[in-house]
Amino acid sequence: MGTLLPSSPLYGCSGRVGDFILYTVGGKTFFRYGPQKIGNPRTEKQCLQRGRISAAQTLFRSVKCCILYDVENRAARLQGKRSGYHLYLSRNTRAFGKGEYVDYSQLTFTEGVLQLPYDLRMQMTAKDTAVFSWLDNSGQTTANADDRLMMAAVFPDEPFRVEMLTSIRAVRGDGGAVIALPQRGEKVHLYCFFASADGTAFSADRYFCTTGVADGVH
Amino acid sequence: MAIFKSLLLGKIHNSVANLCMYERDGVNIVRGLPLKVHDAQTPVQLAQRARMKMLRHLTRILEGVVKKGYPSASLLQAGNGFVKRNMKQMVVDEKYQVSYDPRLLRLSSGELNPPEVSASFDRESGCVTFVQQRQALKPLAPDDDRVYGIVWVTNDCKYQIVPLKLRGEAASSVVPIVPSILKNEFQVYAFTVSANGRKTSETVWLCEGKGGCS
Repeated sequence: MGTLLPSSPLYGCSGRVGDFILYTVGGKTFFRYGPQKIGNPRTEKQCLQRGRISAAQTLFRSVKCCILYDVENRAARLQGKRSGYHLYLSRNTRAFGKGEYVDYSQLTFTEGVLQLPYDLRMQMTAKDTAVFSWLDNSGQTTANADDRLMMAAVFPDEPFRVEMLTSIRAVRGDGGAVIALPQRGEKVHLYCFFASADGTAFSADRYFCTTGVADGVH
Repeated sequence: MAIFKSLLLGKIHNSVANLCMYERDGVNIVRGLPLKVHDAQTPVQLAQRARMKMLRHLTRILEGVVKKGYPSASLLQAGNGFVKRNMKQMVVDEKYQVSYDPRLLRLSSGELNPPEVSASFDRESGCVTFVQQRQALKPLAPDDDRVYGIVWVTNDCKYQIVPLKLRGEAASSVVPIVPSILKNEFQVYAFTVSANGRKTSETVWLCEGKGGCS
């Protein structure tokens, strides 16, 4: 595979010239020799990987419909990745297993320059009430008191759809929040993160899982 | 059999003497015609031919449905998919008469999850009511798949393709049946087609239009 320099007359072209294929990806133009024979042996590993990508893409459909898409795109721009979609795939594909298995604890939806507060914990005080507490670390360049708490959730009745909980009004300076969870099953996967007041900076997320009963601290 | 490239002859078809020329996948092929055609007409052969005849007939009369249910580059490929999927549904008796259960006929075949839909026929109004359940988003059940209802007069070329709601929506649709279909006994099926039209689910038989619905 070769890379064409911007000074080349074929730079930016896509197509086939004889046995050579030209294509442009991410602002770079490549050329390579066309395959003589396309093999598709459908090995177990291949099928597993294709299933993983397909499952990750399915979950990303719901990411595109909420603020997480913007968070991914911003993080991708900061890291010099092609898009938020590619960043999401590179981080999360390994969380998907055979069939419809998903290890939700390995999923991450946000990245950014903001800090998470110290000692972020969750406690279930009732079947549908989660109490979050943290140590306020505001006053630093990457943590302000007016940073808003945001939460994405995956409910058991929709295992491939991530939804934002929109009723949260807590900020970093509050040091805690009481969250009423919709009654849509016992095991809810929660991803907490903080966003700056103007919505331009975000923190990484922290995973929690509810058990449907009042229990100890997570 | 030989492959040839000739600037003079180009692409030629049909036979000259005992040579047969044809084009397959962009390649010109020439081969000798068989000197003797063997046609043993064994019972197994005849049964298979009867099945094929019936399936080709069904492919022709259900052309529009087969195109939608077996997405392919050509109608020929779609028809081949339909024949392959339904070969086992054809039952041949000792007189080589073919019969099949319309409930088991597969008007579509694919990897997508089948839709969760039920249907009932109201004789008085002449309408079929489709009731769709909302399905959770899954890798093989995208919520933008379109559900199609098919109303087909058994063993006839009369059919009605009814676009229903998306898979991610719960809905009830009342569909009036066209008079030409209403006069006959008909079957109601449903399947889903992906948003780009390239993937389909298996067919679900829903009800029939004579003698009440299940």
